Amino acid sequence: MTFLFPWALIGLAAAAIPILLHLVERRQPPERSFPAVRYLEDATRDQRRRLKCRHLLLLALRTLLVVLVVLAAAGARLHRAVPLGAHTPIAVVLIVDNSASSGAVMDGEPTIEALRTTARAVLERATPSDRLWLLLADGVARPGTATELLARLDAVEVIPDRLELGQAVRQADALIRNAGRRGEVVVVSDVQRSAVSPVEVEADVIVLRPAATPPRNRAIAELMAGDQPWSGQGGRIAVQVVADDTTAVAARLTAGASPPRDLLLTPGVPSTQRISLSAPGWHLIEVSLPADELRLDDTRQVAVQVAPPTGVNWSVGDRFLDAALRVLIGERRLLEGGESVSGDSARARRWWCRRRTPRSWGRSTARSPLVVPHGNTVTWSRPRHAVTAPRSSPSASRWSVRFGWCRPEEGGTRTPSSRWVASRGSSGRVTSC
Amino acid sequence: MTRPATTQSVRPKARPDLLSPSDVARLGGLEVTTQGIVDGFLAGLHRSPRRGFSVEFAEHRQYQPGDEPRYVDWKLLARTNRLYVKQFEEETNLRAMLVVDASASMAWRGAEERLTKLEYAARLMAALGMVLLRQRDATGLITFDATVRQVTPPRARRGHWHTLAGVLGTLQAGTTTAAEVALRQVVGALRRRGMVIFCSDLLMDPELTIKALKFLRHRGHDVLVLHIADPAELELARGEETRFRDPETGRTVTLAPSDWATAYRETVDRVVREWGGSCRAAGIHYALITTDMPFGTALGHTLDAR
Repeated sequence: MTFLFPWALIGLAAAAIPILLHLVERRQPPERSFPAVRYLEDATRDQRRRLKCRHLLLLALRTLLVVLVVLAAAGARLHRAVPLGAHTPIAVVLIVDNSASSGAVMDGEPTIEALRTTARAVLERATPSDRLWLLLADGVARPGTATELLARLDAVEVIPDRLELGQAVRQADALIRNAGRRGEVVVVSDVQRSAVSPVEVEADVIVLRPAATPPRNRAIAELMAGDQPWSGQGGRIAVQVVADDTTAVAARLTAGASPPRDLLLTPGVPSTQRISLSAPGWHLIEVSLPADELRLDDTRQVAVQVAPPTGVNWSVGDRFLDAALRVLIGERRLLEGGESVSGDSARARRWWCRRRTPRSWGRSTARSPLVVPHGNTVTWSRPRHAVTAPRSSPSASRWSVRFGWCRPEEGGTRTPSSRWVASRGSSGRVTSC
Repeated sequence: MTRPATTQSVRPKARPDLLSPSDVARLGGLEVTTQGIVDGFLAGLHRSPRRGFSVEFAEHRQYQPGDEPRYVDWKLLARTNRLYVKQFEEETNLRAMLVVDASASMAWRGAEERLTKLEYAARLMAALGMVLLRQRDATGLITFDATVRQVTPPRARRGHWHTLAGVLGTLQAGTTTAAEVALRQVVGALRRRGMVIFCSDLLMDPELTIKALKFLRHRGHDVLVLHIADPAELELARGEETRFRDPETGRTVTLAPSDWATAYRETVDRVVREWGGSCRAAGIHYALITTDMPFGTALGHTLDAR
């Protein structure tokens, strides 16, 4: 027997009221001299026993009534103890929520252990003729015998995944329908509000959750580094914290080998932080909160890639172009050399070429105007780490100039347009300047 | 018998035999009030002082207008078609014995305004003794509780009543009841046929008592049983739960009178019926007298039974 409101069992003390009243009524009554006691004895001899039984029965009924009222108030539920082999074969899909929230520590014990114990009890009631599945947060339904699933259950650990209970129940219901027998879906979960969604199924669904109150939790809900790679100027990250209240939370930000930085984040409010990373390559950015009962969501990491400066070759002859590129090279926005491109500067037309790269490449760099004389040819080499195809520059389009990345050609010859291959992630589009 | 000087001053205008027993008791002592009771009772009952209460038949006399029909000899009328009345000897040698229960249960009253059963019985027996002695019937008295406490032999002297009244006036309640011993004592006191008036609340063993009464009846005595009861004994007063204690045996019964009033009433009715039935079966006269009954009425019940 379990109780929804165990504290209401305090009311069981009220069951003593009828007994106390009975005892109080049995107090010593006033005594009175009466000669005809023998008549009283005769009158009550036959009915006294029946009257006594009636009083005791009335006492028992009153006490039982009080007990029933208290049990009803406590939300008592009876669980039939079905012995092994006592029920007809059924299909049971046991959904064990080993998602991140099950790592919460309640009363000194991880929630997953309480869920595991409950799930074991369910499996131990199964008979060899039952069909069983174990469905975990990874969404994979594992069939097996009770012994196999018990062993599997013992090895279950918390995984940083999210279990959508509605989808899991729907999946379990489909398994039971295919089994062709009556079945039950037993959900053993901490039943987080965000994991519940409406679902209609045919099978009986039994949800078992820990009786303890879930602990207060603060979590890093979002850590995004935006489009990558970053330029040598660094970039920005977006971080957001969620909590049960709106009290500001202290967080620690660690970017690559830089010293940690303390942040003060308000739950529910997105925060943007600028990160300075200059060394090309992959860097790890980590934001962590002070540990609470659910530690799995206290730390979140993201990897960002810092691209090396773009290599550039240009034809010598235009002193303005030369000066501009020298400035960019001096600022380490461009790297001289690496690829060779030949061209001429016969065309007198001047145009602005606004380099359009993936947004995260660095807006400061992207917005740097390059003055290219007519007839000159400037080629930027395509970074090896670029994974996103560049889009055509609106500014360049306005000037009837197509812009893009090109595969550097060996020998420094001009690359014909026909040889550009439009392929995401490996090459750019045809461009001509 | 010399009438006490105070009788004139306390004699009420109303007949004392018809007053409430408690009111009569407030008029004076037992001797004084008994005188008034008997005078009033006889004045209302008898038109001819000659008739008396003797039981000895004297002769037949031809019926004359004015004679009470109760004394018409109907059997003779049936045989001879002649109307005669029976006449009794005014002076008889009837020997009467008053047997009064003085056990602890008799010293009880259900209300303050009533006499105890013992006080009532003493006054009733005193009045009856006076009636008997006035017609010169030898009258004796036996009081008893667990044992025979006092035996006053029957005498016919007019002054004997004061002896009886003295005993009855100082009668104190004793302990338990053992009536059969007292009734067997009567056999020694009444060697000839006589009359035994047994006055008790009958809270005793019925079988032994009836057996003793039958023995008296077997010896040729007229036996009259006066069952003295307080009204509160016949009808259980409703109220809260009470522990009832028997003053004689000390036994207790705890119950709520409201729950048991009906059953108790049925039990008392059954007991009264059983006593009456047993007495009638043995040729014994039985009369139930309550302590709120005027003495005149009680005497009437007693003598009607005769």
